[in-house]
Amino acid sequence: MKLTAESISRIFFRNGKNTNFFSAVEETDFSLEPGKLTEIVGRSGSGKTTLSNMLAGLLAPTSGRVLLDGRDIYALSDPERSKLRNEHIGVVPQGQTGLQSLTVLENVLMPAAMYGSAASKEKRAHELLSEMEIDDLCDVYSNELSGGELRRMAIARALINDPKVIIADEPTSDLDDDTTQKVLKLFRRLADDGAAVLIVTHEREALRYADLVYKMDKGVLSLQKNI
Amino acid sequence: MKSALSLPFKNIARKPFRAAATAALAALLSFAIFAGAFTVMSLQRGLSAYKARLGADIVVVPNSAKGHGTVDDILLQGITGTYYMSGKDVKKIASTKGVEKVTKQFFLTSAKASCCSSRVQIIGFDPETDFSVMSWISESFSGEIKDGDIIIGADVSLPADGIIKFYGESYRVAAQLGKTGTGLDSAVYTNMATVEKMAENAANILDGEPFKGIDIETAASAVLIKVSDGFDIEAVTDDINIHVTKVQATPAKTMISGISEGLSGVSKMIGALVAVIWVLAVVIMAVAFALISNERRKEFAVLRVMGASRGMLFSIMALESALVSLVGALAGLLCALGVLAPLTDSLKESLSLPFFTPDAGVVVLLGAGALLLSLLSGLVTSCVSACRITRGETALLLREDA
Repeated sequence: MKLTAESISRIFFRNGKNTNFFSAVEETDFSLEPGKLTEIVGRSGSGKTTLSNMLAGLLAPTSGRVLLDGRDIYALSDPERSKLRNEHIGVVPQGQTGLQSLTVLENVLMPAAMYGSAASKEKRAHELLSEMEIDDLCDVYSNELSGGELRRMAIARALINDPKVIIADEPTSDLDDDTTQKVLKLFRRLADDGAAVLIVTHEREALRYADLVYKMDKGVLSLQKNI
Repeated sequence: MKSALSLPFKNIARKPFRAAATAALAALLSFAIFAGAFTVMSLQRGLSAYKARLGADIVVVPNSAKGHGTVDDILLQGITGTYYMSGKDVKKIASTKGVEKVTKQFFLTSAKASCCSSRVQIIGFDPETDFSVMSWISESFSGEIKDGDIIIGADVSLPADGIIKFYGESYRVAAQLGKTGTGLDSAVYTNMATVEKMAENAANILDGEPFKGIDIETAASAVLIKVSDGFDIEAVTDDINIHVTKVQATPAKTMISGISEGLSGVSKMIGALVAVIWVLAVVIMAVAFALISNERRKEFAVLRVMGASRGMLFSIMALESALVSLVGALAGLLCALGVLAPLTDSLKESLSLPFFTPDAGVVVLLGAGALLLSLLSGLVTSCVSACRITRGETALLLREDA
């Protein structure tokens, strides 16, 4: 599946000295191709997360369109867009995002339980948890996990429905070098298997795995590397 | 995990104190609504029963009734009273202009009887002239009240052999009356011949007290009057009070309106109290859900990231709120029943108003209503909070809590 952004931008309103708004993402075109791992790097506050959220259908752009295989996702109704995200877009959000009432396994199975049967995905959940090296924690509640374990759980959860588009916002923060390598290799493999993968990161190590690298600076996106 | 709707159950299990606090509010709501409505309804039913029983336009009692139980007291509170006016006074009353029908009643207080834990009021009436008691008695007993027969109120225990002894003599229980919620429920009714016989026995046992100077055959404790069409009840009452000495005539509607006013006051007070509790509980519930929802912004945002629609979030919130509110409301109802059941008698006494508890079917309906209102209050307040939170964009929710 191909995710395309056409002339998207995002403005936020806030009281400043000279203006009462600021442009988080300047008007830009962007696309995530199947089979490619794309990275966006940049300083904090440069607009990376805003761009990735717009691509994931979590934040409507001020202008422009986001198309998934030609379908404008912001023209869809909320239930349609939500279902589309659930089925086709795996999102690893920034920060700690464990649901505290659920165990690790239940957290990972939750996206599968929303529109279908979680039971049929249990084997896949254990595979992903094993790959993330936290399968032994599957019955532990998420509030008992370390930051790194929570990140790994969030990655497994984003992949449970085998999405064709993966958008991960700083997926390797809180991870040690060894685990970072494993996670990056996993994303590389998913791209090689045909998924369109976007990683937003500060991690220099990630550059080795990327096909395309973009840099975000003050809301302006520019291509840095195209392999 | 079977489906996303398992989440509410898991949230409740993992956050028992949060759930218990919300359930307590729902319990308070259902308790207040049910207890308030039950009390007001019981009072209204009591008044209806009371109005139906009296059936007279004017009630006349001797002045000596003051300081004892009045007719009002006897009817409402079951206070026993023995006071008498002479047969001459009864005749004078009957001959007053505007008086269409007259029937007399003879009150006698029992000594401790086998039927009852305390003394009971025996009311003798004349079935030939009666237009007050018989219409009510006929609801439970259609036969003729023979000499020696008694009819007992709903609260008087019916012995297995159907015989109750008063002042050394046995009387056959011909019927037991339906419940009225008034003092009449603990009274015993019989015809004049029988009550006169009882009074004679009492006079022998009590050495003439309290019948000194009284001709039992002609005396009366109360005279009930129906006024002829075209005559003013107040005027006839005044006429009796002026021309018949040592008696006190009172228009029945004055007695009823006094009770009615008292009832209306108590009903309004209870209604206001229930409304205040309801508003307070709903406000606290709304604040609690708002706080809980704020605390759960991140959880909502994460669910949205995974692909939950706003509708799905509402369903999860609504189910969780419904479960907690239902358990709370049921607990509140059980508490209300547990508190009201043993307190009904005390309420009757403390309110000094006719109190007639509703039928079981009505109680069930009241309970269902209280349950539904509490449930709806919980649902609406939680959904409003959820709506407020999820109205915004998911990414912004995530960012606020990142």
